[in-house]
Amino acid sequence: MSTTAALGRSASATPTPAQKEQRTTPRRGFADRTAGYVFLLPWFAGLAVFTLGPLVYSLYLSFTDYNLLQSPRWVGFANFHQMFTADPRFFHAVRVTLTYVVVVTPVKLGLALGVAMLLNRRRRGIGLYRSLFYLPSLLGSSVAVALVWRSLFSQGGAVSNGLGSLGLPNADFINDPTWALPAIILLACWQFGAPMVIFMAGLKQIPSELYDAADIDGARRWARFRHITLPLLSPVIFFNVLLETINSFQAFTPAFVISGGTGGPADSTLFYTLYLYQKGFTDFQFGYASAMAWVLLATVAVLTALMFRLSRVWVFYGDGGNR
Amino acid sequence: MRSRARTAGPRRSRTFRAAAVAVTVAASLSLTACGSGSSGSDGAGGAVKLSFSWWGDASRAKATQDAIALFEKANPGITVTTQYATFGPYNQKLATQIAGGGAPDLMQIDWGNQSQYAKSSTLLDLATGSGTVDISGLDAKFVGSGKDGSKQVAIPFGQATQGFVVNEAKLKSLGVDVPKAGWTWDDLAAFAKQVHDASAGKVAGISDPGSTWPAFQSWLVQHGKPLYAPDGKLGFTEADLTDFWAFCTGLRKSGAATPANVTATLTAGPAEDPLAKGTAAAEWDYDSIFASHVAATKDTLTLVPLPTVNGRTGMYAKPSMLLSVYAGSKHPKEAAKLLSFLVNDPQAAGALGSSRGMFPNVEVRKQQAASATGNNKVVSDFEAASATLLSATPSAPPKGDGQLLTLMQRIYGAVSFDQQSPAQGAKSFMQQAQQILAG
Repeated sequence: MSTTAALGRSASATPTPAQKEQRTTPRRGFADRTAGYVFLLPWFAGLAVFTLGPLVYSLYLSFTDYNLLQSPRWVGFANFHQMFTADPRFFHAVRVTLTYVVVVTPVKLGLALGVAMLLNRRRRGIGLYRSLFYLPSLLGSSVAVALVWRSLFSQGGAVSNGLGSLGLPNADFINDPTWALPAIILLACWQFGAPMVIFMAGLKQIPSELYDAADIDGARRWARFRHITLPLLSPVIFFNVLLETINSFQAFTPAFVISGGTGGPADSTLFYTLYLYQKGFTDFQFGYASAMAWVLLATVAVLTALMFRLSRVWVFYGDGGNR
Repeated sequence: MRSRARTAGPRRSRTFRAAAVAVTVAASLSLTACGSGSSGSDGAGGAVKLSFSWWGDASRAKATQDAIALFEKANPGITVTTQYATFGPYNQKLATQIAGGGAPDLMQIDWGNQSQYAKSSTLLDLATGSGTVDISGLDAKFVGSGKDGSKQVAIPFGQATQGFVVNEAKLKSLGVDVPKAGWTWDDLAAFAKQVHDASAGKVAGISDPGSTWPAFQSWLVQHGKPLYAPDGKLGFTEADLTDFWAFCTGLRKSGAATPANVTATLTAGPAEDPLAKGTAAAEWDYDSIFASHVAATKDTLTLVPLPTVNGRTGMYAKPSMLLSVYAGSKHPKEAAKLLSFLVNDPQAAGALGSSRGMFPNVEVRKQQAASATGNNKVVSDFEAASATLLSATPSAPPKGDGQLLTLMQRIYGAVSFDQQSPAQGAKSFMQQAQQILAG
């Protein structure tokens, strides 16, 4: 504890000369800031043109009927009204997406944490293992991996044939409405490398003397995990949960590639984002698609806010306060 | 190390908040900001650069590129850049290009989209002005299918007829006879069952046609009904669709038609469909796709006319693909020249073969048929034999036709996976179809 305080003091002492200098020469600070903003200008321009502009335009479009060819026609809340009252596929897409989010987020993070703890030790060749586990994440949501997945899990693919040679029924997973979504979920869980790396960084920062102290007190493995690892890792867990939840809501590429853009078979992989895409680019209802995008944005924003509120209860920050 | 982790606490929570906001914003952006790319064609430096795009597979692409090479040789000042994709993605991309003002100079359009594009004035009138195309050698009635009101907005690039593409080699090895013209749906059911039994259940007789919108159209025409009424509404009833799906369901359950998971691969195109994979011995399709089917398998394929109802085949000459010049093209004259070449020139006919069905220019078509070999001969013989079996070509499908095509795939998907009965499926199809056509 005392070391922390000392280091904390020394850390806050280090920048003092620089701060003093800044305070004594305010004009130069202003000039520096202006220069900084000027250098940032290209980024701001990009933000305005490629991000804020389309964002605002899509908000406008969500209140219109727009088929790309004719100019948008104002329809007020008709898109939202239809979505919530007269579109069974919308609710179906919501259901598919929620299933995915609810399964993928905990399973993927559980795997990531478990493997991170296994790899969090000094052994020969540990770097190789870490890279191997991280590798699937590098391939990420790429089209190539989804294509490989499709051929692995469809009829005549390695997985189906492998199960068949074990005497199990060799199903055509990709073209079976019962198994298509689980196959995509499996793909997502396999790519747990990114949260794993973040977990490993978090684990490294837990002081080892805490574990030593717990050992002396006779704590078993589970108790050490429950009372040391979990609380000290909670900010990192929170970060990962937040990120993965949002990522899962946005899942699109694997479903698009594996189902050939249809969300099939029998709508079993109709993710929210895929339905949104179909509404826009297959049915040419860009107003409706924009409205869906904003509903998704609002949902994710509300969920994020809720998670932050909840985090006050369970996330432990080392400095005592949680803000 | 350790101590930094602790002292950084409050700062990190702020970082988290900022990250969350950033990520949330990014979440929505990646969805809403799928912008359209536009590519300007520029003829700086004297040489004219044209762009031309179509849908199809690799074998059609090769035939088309060969024809274009001949055009470029004959017109040294013009170079043509080409693009192609499969049907679904192609139409998505084209619509985006048109909306963004960057459509290709010459483009292949689907009959179902013609009126929509024409009404938003994106298609050049090919009968007058700088972009005039010579259509004197084409069948006038057939060229009429490219008209929107008084404007000639498109020229049919090929003529296609419906039929069954049959894997002759497979039937031979199974000891099943190739069906003959004039067969009925009962004959088809018996034939398909025979294939299923002879192959010990490994090969289905036909790919289940229940998800194929134009196959349903032929079924309707055989029963004396149109797909669309003259006012653009549906020309059939819920009972008609129930009958069709009940028939298909019967075939599927007996193993005569492909099971649901195999039928689902029909959307992947000829290269990956049941015929290519050898899981079905016959498949409903247009003869303009025949060459693509041939390219996807080592087996010998042939074409058989559709089964009949009271002697009617329900087959008709369909403008399989149409060519249009973009109204915003910088080189309408050259684009029209290329179009004229592609629909009239004997050299073009030689290169294109049967990759889009029958060649548009009537005289050239006759010469082509006389000297055809291989696949081209199969198609032209089929066309010649079917000429007397054809019904009148219906008028252009209304806006929304493309959506009904995917609706059919989707709902029959649910029916074939036994999630809905044919009657339930037909009911929900009618509801959604009427909604689409009204909107």
